[in-house]
Amino acid sequence: MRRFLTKLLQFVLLFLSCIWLALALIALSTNWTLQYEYKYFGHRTHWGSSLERVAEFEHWAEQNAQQPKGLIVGSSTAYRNINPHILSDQTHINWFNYGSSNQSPKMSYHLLEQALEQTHLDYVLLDIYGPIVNNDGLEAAFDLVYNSDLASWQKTKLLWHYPNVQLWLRYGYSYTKNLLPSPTYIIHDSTNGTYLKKGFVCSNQPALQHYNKVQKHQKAQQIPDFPELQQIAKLCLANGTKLILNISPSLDGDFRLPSSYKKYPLIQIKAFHNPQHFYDSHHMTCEGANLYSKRIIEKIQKLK
Amino acid sequence: MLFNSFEFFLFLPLVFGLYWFVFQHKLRAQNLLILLASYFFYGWWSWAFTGLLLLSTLLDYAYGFGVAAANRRKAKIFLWLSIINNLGILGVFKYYNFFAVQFQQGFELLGIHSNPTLLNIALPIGISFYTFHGMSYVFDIYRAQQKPVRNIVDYAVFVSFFPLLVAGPIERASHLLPQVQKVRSFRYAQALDGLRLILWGLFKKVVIADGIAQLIDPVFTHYTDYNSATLILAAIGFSFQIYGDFSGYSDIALGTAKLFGFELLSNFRFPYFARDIAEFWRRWHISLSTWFKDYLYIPLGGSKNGQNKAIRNTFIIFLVSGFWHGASWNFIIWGFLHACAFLPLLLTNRNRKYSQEIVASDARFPSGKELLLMLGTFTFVTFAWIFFRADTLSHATGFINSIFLNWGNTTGIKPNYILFLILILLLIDWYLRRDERSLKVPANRLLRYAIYLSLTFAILFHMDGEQSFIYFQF
Repeated sequence: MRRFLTKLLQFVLLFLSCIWLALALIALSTNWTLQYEYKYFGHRTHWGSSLERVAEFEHWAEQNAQQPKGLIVGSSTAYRNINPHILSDQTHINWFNYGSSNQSPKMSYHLLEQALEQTHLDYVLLDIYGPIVNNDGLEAAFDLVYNSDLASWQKTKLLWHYPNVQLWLRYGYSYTKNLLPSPTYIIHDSTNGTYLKKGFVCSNQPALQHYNKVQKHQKAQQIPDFPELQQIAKLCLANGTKLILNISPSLDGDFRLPSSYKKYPLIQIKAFHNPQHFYDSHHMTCEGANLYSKRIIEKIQKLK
Repeated sequence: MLFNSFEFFLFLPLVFGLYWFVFQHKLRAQNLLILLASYFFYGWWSWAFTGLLLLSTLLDYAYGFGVAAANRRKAKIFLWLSIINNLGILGVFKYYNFFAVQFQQGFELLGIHSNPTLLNIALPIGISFYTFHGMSYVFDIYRAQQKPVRNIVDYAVFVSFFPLLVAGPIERASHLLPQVQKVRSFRYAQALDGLRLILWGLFKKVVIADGIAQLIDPVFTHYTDYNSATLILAAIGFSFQIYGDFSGYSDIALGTAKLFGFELLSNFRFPYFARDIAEFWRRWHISLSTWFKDYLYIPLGGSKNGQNKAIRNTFIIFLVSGFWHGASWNFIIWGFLHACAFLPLLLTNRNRKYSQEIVASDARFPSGKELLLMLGTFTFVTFAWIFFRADTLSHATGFINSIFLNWGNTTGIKPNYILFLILILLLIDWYLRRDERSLKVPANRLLRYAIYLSLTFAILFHMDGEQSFIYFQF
């Protein structure tokens, strides 16, 4: 038994050393080519990622202690469709958009938990795009671990919530890269949008000209039950934060929440189906997002 | 709990540590630990269905004593009770909806409209495996090949031992129970073999099977969009996916059992090197095919009572085997196709031609004839797998039609390194083909470690989520 365990331990140590060596080689290879880093760990970008959003959030969290604060969480439909600048200007609430690509409700919960540890929030606007509730949120976790300046303990906490090897490798890689002379490449691609601060990305894609029109009689698709909503609601309640839900519109047809969720304040702007406000079935152009944000303000004011 | 999940990587060392460090040489405590761990392992998926597992275990344990009675009439009643009980569980959870729909459609043809109530319940994982464990135990006692076990924990371990609980191998009481009842001591070589098997099994599952699945799943779903060559490639891909998936699972099960001092039955012996379909069935899912042979084919008379009965029994065993896999016509057709391919061999008395040695057992390469025979068998098996992979019978026929009709279509898939890995798998299997149970490893330490490290790397880099095993659905 002792021999077996010694061998096993030796192998594990050897393996971990080799993993670290591989990560170091990939990190060093970025001095010549981004290829391997890009292939295995993705890339740092300005759009949809937490690269600037997290650092900016921390700054936002520290300031304006007197003014009510509102945080928008959700997936790409949150950071592309809801403009916090417009919301802040007209609601006298200081809004920040903490959405990120493929941010599932589970991920929104973790982000919210961490945000509430840093600052008091008066409002949380949870943007829900129907299919995202089935997403595991791993892409958002990759992004936070690899792209953001989230504190080490916050990243480590994420690893515990997402026991996934790929996430661990990204975690290891981000620290390895910081230790070595490995340049940071940030991919700029204007076609993916312009980052306008406060977490909002304004799309540069052309608007759709035609799209299958959503029929008036078309039944809204039911969003499956997702337990994270109860957790988010509980968290908000415990912190004296008002939770508002927003169902994101889609040109493929609207979504509706299970009837048991009607107890939460809900914004659903129906008939927001003009293809010229979208660049695909559910992401809006900048103009569409601005218009949509104004419609949200009307709803928020009614809720207040 | 899946073998390729994070939870299992915590669960296994914990149980291993308790088993060898806390309870070493304490047989009863070790067995109880295995039993509790097995129920925990199963309950991780569904706590509610652990009740069904427990009920099935208790009933067969009780029937075992009834079947052992000297009075043959009474014994037979208990045997039938066990059969009805196990098939009843399978019938309710696995086949009820299928039969309800078939009857409904049959009545519709007669102009009678009915609206049967369908059950909206999940199929309990491993139900087809643990019910077969229970039945074989009672059968063996009835045939005086096994004595009823007094200690219920021992029997429950035999039914629910976690490495084999959800997808086999389907063990025999005469093989596993003596191991459960015997004091087990840690053996270095056996444990090392176990780790190697787990590593190799994970590689086959996570890297090869899951990698192929990513490539071919869209092709099977949207088959009308793809060209014929791609459809053929997808069918071949599925042959290797299911092999990697299921033999990978079996390797992990065998390896895990070895870590606890158990030797399970082999489930695979390089089936794609089979030279005819009879040999294929001696090498593919061996524990199931031998189960059907021993508890169905032979009791029905096998091939001993004339040609007509041999034909009947062959069809029964293959159709039942197909139906065992799933309550759907495509599985039945899959079994039917195999029966059709097996029958000529049986009738010409050539079904045992390749029953002893693996192809090219004393040569480095197969002869031209052997190669052709292997290719022919593989082609047939691959064709039949289309029915197995398809969601419905019309999906399968649509896929096959598209193979013939889509030559003009230009859409294909980009072959990637997975195809290269299939080749590597075939080469490694070819290298290992004479040694069926334990993996042969190079004597050179450096090379050996390089292989272990490469496999571990490949597994970790490909572990993208937890993909379930195909055979869990059965």
